[in-house]
Amino acid sequence: MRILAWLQRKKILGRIISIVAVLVFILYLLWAHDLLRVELFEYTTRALTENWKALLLSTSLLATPLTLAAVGECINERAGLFNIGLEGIFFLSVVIGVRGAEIIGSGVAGLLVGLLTGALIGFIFSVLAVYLRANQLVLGMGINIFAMGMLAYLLAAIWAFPGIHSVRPEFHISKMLGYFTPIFFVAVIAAILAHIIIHRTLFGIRIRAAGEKPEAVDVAGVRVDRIRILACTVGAALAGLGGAFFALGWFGEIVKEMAVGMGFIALAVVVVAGLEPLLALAIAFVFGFVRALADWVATMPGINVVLPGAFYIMNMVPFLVTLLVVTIFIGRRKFPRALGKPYVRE
Amino acid sequence: MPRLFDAIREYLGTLKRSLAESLFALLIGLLIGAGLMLAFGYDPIMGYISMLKGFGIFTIEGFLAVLAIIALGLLLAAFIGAYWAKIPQALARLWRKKISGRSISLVAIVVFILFLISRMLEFLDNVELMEMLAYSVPLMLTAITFAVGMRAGIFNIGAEGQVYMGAVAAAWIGGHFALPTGLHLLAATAFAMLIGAAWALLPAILKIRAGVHEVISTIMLNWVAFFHVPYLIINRFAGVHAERTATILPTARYPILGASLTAVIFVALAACVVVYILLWRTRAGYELRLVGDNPDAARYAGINIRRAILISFIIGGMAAGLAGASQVIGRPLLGWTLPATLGTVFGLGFSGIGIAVIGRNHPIGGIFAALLFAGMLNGAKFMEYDWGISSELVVAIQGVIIIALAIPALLAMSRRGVRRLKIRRGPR
Amino acid sequence: MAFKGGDDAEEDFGVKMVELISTSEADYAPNLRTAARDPDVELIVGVGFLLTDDLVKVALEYPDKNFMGIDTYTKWTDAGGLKEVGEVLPNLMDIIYEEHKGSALVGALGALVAIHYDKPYIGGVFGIEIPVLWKFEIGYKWGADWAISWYENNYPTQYAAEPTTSIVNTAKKERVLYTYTGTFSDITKGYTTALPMYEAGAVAVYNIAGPLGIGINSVVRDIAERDGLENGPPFWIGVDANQDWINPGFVIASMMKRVDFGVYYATKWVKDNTFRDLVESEGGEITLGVGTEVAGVLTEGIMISTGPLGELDEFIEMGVKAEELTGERILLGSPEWIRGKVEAMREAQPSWMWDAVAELETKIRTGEVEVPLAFTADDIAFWRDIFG
Repeated sequence: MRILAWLQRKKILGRIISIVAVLVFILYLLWAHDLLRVELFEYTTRALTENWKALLLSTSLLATPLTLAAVGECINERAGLFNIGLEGIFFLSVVIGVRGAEIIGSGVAGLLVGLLTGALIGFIFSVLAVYLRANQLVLGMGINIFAMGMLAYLLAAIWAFPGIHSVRPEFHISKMLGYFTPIFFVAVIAAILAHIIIHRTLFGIRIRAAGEKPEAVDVAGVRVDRIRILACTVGAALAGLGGAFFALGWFGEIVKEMAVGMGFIALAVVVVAGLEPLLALAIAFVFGFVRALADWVATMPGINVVLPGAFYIMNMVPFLVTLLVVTIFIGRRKFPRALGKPYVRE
Repeated sequence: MPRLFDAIREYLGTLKRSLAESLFALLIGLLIGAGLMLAFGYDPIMGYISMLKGFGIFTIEGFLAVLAIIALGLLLAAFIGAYWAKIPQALARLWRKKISGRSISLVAIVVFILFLISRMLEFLDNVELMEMLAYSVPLMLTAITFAVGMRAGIFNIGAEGQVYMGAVAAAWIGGHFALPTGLHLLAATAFAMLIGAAWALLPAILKIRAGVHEVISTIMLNWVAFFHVPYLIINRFAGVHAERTATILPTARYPILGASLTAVIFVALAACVVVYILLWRTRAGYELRLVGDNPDAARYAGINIRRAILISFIIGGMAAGLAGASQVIGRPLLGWTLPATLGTVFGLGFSGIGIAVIGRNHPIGGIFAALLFAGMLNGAKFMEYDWGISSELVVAIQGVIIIALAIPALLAMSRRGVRRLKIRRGPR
Repeated sequence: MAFKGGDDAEEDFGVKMVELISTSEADYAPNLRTAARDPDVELIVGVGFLLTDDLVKVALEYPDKNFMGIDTYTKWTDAGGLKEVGEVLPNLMDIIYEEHKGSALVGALGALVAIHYDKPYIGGVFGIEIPVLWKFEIGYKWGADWAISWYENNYPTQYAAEPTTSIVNTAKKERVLYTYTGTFSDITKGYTTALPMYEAGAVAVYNIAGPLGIGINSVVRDIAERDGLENGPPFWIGVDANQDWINPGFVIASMMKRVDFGVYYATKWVKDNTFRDLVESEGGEITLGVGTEVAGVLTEGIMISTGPLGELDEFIEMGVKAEELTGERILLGSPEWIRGKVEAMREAQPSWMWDAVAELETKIRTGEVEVPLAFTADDIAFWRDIFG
């Protein structure tokens, strides 16, 4: 009993209960799919060891947009703005970025247009949240829903072809070594820069203070509103770059439901990273890797004979792993006290 | 009777303030939609006229019928709201064959109003009106999921996955068990609600035990359900045709009122009213709302915050489960089956978020918002058929409305005009 | 694809086509009704097996209008009690396609290419696991198996001398790498599932998930760029339309399911006033496939793009038209360049490969071989037990 009380006091009990709950849930799914089998792990280890080079190279593709969006979100959450509209930013910047590339005639310019699209959305978001004290969660969800409709509407309205559009190959940003995208370096640089700005500069101190103790910033004579707007604009701009990457750096095509679910996985990355950009980079890479690995396992020779229907579970793996990892790490993370709350001068 | 009028006045009173905001946001949404149509060379006025066809109010009797049904519905809701505590007693007395005038009249009035509405629908035979009403059923229910969450300070966007689970649960009971009429319907509905709530349990535990943000946990569970349910349909519950569940047995179907509208709409309306009563007329509901409004005050008042959050998740899960059931056993879609592609239930949870926001997180407001959105969704096809305007535009308009309604100062803007808006200083 | 059929019918019969795209399955009946209520509409076409019951419902409500379902089985449903199973409505026709036969042809082609290039696998990326895709899956696997037996019988010495990496030496149940991605829209899944297949040594991957083909094509493009390739391997196999033009030189062939033919024929029958007679004489169901006949006239709907380049031109022309309409560039290059690339790619393959596929096609036509049709849970379990 004494141990139980100690666990309770240290808030470990709640975490243990939660982790057990997630594990039970995963066991239920494996049981329901007839996959409580040791072969599942054999295939996974084989997939890990057989061709890890290609696996790692292709991970860069999923990790790039995740990192960009997560690092951006780290910046604006540090400043106290919680933007869950990342998915919406992906949707809009992908279509406007491609349009920009076609009008200007360059793929890199298209990426920049995507970046600006994200910045504009972030700017509008922050103005509404800071000056009009909008509910940030509702606002973000509104952006997601608006963008979902807009992507499909714009595809039909601009290119007169419902659901799909191909980008000219000269606008593609070529990959290296087959599946590795050079834009991943941009994501790495963004993460390092964000780390330096947040931890090593005066502006970073102000951003953190705006999220932690906006009153103090205000008393010191610094405008909380401007810091928050700037942070959110920069943060969303990175997500916008990530969105444009899908069409210009990865596929060279746009479809109606591009990048579904990725914006929310990016949010999970931010939570696990505890708003640290460098950690976000690492965790985004891990999440991208898990997804790539799951698809690798699902396509292995003979797996459908030994483990019929394994692909259903493999399709879920990225989401289950996210859930489990978030649950394990959540208790250790601290978030800004004023996160999601509008600042009102007293 | 005075109690009845009080209840009606109370409803209208709470609705009036939010109505102005919602209408203003709707206006903004429609204006931006018009701008988008103009930008790509479509005629917005003709587009919107086509969209109005979806409301089934292009004929005078259709319009009057909509008004009459809303009035009757409001009366019913108010009636139940005023006398809800008496209804179980009255039923219990009738059960024990202690017939009193009062209990008979109570039950009789409810039954009569229901009868009146269903007769009117049958008499009218207005297909578009019925389609709009049928569309609105799942939407008002998923709106509850989000609204109850918001009332408890929780951003529960897990309705989508809970709808899938509820739908497959209803399809299982409805298609694979032979039960007597009535009981079968009840069992399928109840089981769907139970499974919907069960699917909401994990995010609830993670939230109250470990503090995992519900936005992340519910979205992840939505995706898990998206892959889990097709597996269940194909490998466990398939009927003659392997891509969908077995046909729902006639004993588990809600009776059709016309087009694809069934009596499930009454269950949905009742659910909205019950949730309203729970939130505004019971102690648990009061505590739940206090937790959402002012968590610190709730903590000082000694309210069990964890319990309140759990309750909000469970109510939400039940509502979403019912929404899923309503698409399978409460609507003759695909010959009373649920397809493995999940097409008949996909997107309902997300639409519910917008509807809850427009209904100002109020279950009764949600009914009206659901009717509005159902009309727009139903009308979007006319827009596409008549003028080639992509029906997805309606989703974008929905997003704009939500963005507008995220702003608390919206009403002030609508009243004073943007120019004279002053940012209030000091605490609210 | 149905769109193209409507277009062609517009040109030839002076009709006008209006499209309604359903955003969800709840829209089907309302959309069909919207079309049926329009007094100028003579024929209403529903595309997709999920429209089955709603077509029955609306066809009963509007007996004067003609309805056609593509991939539907209206004859074999009771539509939740609206009619008897097996009952045929006079104004409603099902058109079904023999996708399994087309898939068998590309499966055979894929296996032959794998033999030629000494590769161990062929692949398939599928969408949501539904019976229509089972038809593709089993047809594809059966075709690959047929080709390997054919090679063994016709070239026994070469067969015995094949290196270990050749598909003929891969275990029978492992020859086809495949997965169901659970989506018809998330193209990232197309990429991340096709990539391990090519890395494992699949010579060609069959796209049976609509837009996910974009993901497959991206992998092929990236490999080609890495290795500086002008032509495949690696290849991918197109589906539904002739997709050879999307990435000429890297699409070995496409399994064409000509939905446009179905729409075109139905319009023609309505215009000739033979639609209802055909519904009666054909028992409500018309099969378009390889060598199929309707009322004694050869009426096909399934073919693979290995023959003359004529049908490729049709699709290139579609792209050219779309370019004119929107002022955007859609094709990768000039029509001549595309044609040249496709021709060069074909000539780079040995002729015995094309001969074998032609032989299989003839045998399917004459009924000498029967391609298995998997449409029920039992069928799929049986055939997966044989082919993996």
